[in-house]
Amino acid sequence: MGYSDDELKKLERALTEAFHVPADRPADPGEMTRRVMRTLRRSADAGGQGQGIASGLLDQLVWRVATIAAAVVLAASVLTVQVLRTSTGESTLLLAEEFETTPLFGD
Amino acid sequence: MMDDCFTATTALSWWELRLPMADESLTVAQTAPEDRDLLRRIREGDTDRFADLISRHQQHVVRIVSRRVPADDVDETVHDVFVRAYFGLGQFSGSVSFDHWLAGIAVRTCYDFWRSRHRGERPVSELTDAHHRWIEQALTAASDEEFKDHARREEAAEVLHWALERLSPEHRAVLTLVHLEGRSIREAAELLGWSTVNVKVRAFRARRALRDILSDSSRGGT
Repeated sequence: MGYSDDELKKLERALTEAFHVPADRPADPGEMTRRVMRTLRRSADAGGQGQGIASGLLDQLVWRVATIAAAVVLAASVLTVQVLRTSTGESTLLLAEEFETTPLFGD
Repeated sequence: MMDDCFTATTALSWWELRLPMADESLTVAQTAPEDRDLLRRIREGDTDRFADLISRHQQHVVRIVSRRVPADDVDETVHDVFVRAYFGLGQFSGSVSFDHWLAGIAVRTCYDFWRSRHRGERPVSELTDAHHRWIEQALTAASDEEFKDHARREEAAEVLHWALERLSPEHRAVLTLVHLEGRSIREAAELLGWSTVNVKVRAFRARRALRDILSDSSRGGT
């Protein structure tokens, strides 16, 4: 049976209002800061101070180099294919000319 | 095909839903000088300054996360947001404000939360008589005040949770940003890191899916 279009609009509006009702969240801001910093220190102890940020920069660098390398490889492939096609075309043409000028059955 | 899709969106006139209560926490124009200074010091090796950044932005992140994940999972998710932000600091170019950048990480972390939960078996809540009564009362609301009164009731949040739980993580993320928070397609695309076309299509489908879910929930429909 379901709802009519107007009823659905009303229901959607009621739910949208419900979404905007602020949630009661008594939280200890200091505790969250301590927890995050503990995780980061543990991670730094495992891999060296500031490694996280450095690895972010390294990631960026790797992606950039990889993109440029891929573009170069693609361009080289396109050029190679073009050169091969041209040379194949020429040899076919020469062969065809040879067939035209040479009698096939020796007469 | 795409044109049909957008014509259908127009027919549904979903923007009627976009209330003038957009969450300002998601858009801040410029990185504050204090943030810039802290970021510089962290980059120079004073990583303990990240604690100051957490203190400055924790409320902002909690506000975003608490609207997206169950209350029991908010702390864990906020923690993950800041850890991700720390390890992603190298990618923060400063072209957008730090708040905005952090909001994007928060939105995507919540999306990942639902993706990981969606993969496993999860208990799906059902609507009770109290929820059906709330729906019937919400349908009789005529004024803004009445809508707000209904929204404050516990059942409202539960019905919303029930409906969102039935959406895919992608639909949930887009519906929350575009239809519930009133973000523009462009903003939603920026925050999720998706293309605007992707967000447009998903926003349309998500709303249709939500309407189907709500329709099926009617007493006659179940």
